Parts: sequence; structure tokens; C-alpha cells
Amino acid sequence: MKSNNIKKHELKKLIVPLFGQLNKVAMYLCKNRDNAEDLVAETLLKVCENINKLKDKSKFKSWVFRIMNNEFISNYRKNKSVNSVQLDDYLLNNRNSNTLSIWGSNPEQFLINKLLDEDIRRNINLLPEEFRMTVILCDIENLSYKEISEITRVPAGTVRSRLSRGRAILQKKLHHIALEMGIIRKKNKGKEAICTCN
Amino acid sequence: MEKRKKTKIISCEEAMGIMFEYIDGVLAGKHHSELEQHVETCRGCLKKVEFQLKLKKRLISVKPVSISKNLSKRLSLILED
Repeated sequence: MKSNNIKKHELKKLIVPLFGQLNKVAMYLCKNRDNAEDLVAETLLKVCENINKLKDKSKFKSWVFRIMNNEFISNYRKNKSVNSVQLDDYLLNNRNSNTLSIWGSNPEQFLINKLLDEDIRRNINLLPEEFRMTVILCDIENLSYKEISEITRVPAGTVRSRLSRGRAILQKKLHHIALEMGIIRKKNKGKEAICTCN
Repeated sequence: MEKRKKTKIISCEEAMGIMFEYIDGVLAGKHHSELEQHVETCRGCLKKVEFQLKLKKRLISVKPVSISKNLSKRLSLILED
């Protein structure tokens, strides 16, 4: 019993500083506040139930995020299995597109300066689910490939590949924002030019 | 100068293949040198690397969404159980 109490006391110290990060990641994953709050609460419940199974305290953070990822995936698969088809369609339709060449001209710095947090949140939320978690963990939470690999339980090579593809899709979405905002505009024959009127 | 001569010259495709590892700071050794040497001579790839570095910096700067009172209460209750 004593060891359980110590665990609980330690748990509070470890988990409370992570609440903000868990809430942020959950918001990206779930796309709405109510579901995100449920996910954070369910994650915490699982963490409390299973804390005695954690052997290496130094891996607490990745263990907690792994629980959140598992909770999200199981709820997601229960409720939204249709989205995996959407991802396949997306990849099929975009297989040959070279998103890295989108920024061949140079509006990028201008766009980055103009991006609102909300633009970034909205567009990360639009990433296919398989890539979203990896991009969030790396680019928003600044976790290492090794930590992401532990959380998502995929090899480091898959983390690299998901990051590369997820970022390419995000970049493409930001390019659309640039067009919508008038930061760049389409020229004849698909070439783009910077709009200097903003 | 001697070191530079030993660095393999890589193509744009190869450079872009390792770009994300470079911007994430996990590219080491010869691949790191190869990419740096490539972008010294390739303006197109340099711009892509610079863009990704700036974008990464911007993404990390996104402010967290504050925890609602309701969630805060729920989490406290779970921890007290």
C-alpha cells in the first residue's frame, strides 16, 4: 500500500506539468474541445490505472503520450473507420505531386510571418490521421524521433517517412492559404507571383 | 580544404531525401557535410531548407490552448481518486 501511495504522489509531480501538452495534442487530434477534454481525462485515468506497470520512470512522458495515442486510435477506429479510406484516396491523388517545388518562387518568408496560430492549428487538424500525430509530436511538441517511435510504436524509418509526407501535405495546405490570402497569386501557365499589395 | 574534397557530391533529390533529418538536427557525419555542401552550391535546395527551418520554428511557437476550468476540475478529481 505504501508503495502505491508513493507512486501516486510521484505521479502527480510527473503528470501535472504535462497537462498543457496533453491538452494541446488532444486538441489537434480530436479537432474539438469536448472530445479533446474527454481524451485527456481518459488518458489520465489509464495512466493512474497502469502507473505501476511503468518500469522506467525516465520514459514517463513518452509512455503517457503512447497511452493518449492508443486511446485516440481505439476511439477513432470505433467511430471513424471511414477516414482510412480518405487517406488512401489522398495519397493516390497526390502521389506524383512534388510539394517541395511549390515554393520555387519566394513568398515563403512572407507567408510564415503572416500565418496566425489558428491557421496552423486548422491546417494541422486537416492532415490525414496517420501523419498528424507524428507531425504534432515532432513539430509542435519538439520530441525526438526516438520518442515518437516509442509513442506511436513504429520504427524510426516510418517516423521519418510520415514526417516527410505529413510536412509535404501541410506545406501544400499552407500554399493554398497563401493563394487565398492573396500573398501569392496565380499567373498564366501556373506560375505564381508575390502580391505586394498586402 | 582536403575534407571538402572527400565529401561526396549529392544530387538535389538525395539532398531533399535527408533534408528533414537535417532540419530536425538528427543528421550527422558525412550526410550532414554532404547536405551542407550541396546547399552551398544549390540555391533551390537552400531555399527549401531555409523555408523548412523557418516553418519548424513557427510551428513550435504556436501557443497552447488553455485548459478549461471544467477539464482542470475533472483531472483533479481523477488524481484525487
